[in-house]
Amino acid sequence: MSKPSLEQLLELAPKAIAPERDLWPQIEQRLTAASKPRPMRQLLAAGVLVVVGALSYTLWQPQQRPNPELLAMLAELQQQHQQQIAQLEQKSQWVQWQPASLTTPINQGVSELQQASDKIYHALQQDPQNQQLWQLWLWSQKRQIELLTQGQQLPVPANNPTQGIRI
Amino acid sequence: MNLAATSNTIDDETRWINQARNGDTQAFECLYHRHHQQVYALCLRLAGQVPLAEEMTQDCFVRAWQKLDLFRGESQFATWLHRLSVNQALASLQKHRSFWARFLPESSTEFHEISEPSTPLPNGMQLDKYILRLPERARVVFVLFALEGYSHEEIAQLMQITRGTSKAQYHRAKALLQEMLS
Repeated sequence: MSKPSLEQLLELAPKAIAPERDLWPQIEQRLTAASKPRPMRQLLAAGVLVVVGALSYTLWQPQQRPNPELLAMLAELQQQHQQQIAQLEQKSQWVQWQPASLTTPINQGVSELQQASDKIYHALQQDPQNQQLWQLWLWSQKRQIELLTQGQQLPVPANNPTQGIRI
Repeated sequence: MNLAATSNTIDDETRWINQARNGDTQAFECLYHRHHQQVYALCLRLAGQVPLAEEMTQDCFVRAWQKLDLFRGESQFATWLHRLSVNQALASLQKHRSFWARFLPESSTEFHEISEPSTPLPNGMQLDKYILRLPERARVVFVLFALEGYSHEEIAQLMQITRGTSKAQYHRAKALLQEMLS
């Protein structure tokens, strides 16, 4: 019997080949570690965009708006932000499994940002039409939320977290 | 497969895709089980060895999970996944080659000119037995052109080589395979 030609073998080549072992468990592990865009983050990003848009519109109105309205908006935003922070911090306490070496820098960063944010807020109360202060304030809030979210996604330590990784 | 069964298959797949988009890994597992053998076949042929093919298959599904939001349903999921897998598999192959290039002399990174496959293959995979023995670049071009139906223009773009190089590698692969078959 003659050997099959290359063309014949190409036609017979299977479209699907089963792997020798189950690859799913490792894929699943990587999926949980992979950073998939979360609806929460998307909502936050959308929220920040809406606020920036609304503020730009308000600040660039041809006629000056009375300060009380801006001050009221400022207070409301501050309140919403504090609520969001409280929720995230509460969530962090539920998943308090990370070693202190990982969480301490994040907590310190959040606390520094909070202090900065408070100072900017007080400055804004004095000068609510200062656009740069608004941007700085919103940025500090955004960073605070990002840091808290990062803190919740710290990796699970190995059996012995003090032991280094051997390569 | 009859029409009703085909329709159910598509319905299931659409549901799994939507669930997986919302972070449901079990739904994504269903997608994995439906398509992994096609992705693995592609990866095995491109990689030329089982351990790397397994790693590449994992990379493809992790990438698909990350990019699932970009699947708009304009083509079949299998088509979308196949395109994504080709891109990802080539990127993984490149990464693997770069890694070894740091430790091996340049001539060794093209791997064995014509060598025995490291893993025995089951019956019915006669052609693959030979394909896995091809030099890497010739093998990749041959698989993409002869088995996956890509044109030399597309291969040139994917591999960042010229169309002429793609053609030359294809003919080299074909000649080597015919030599092995004779």
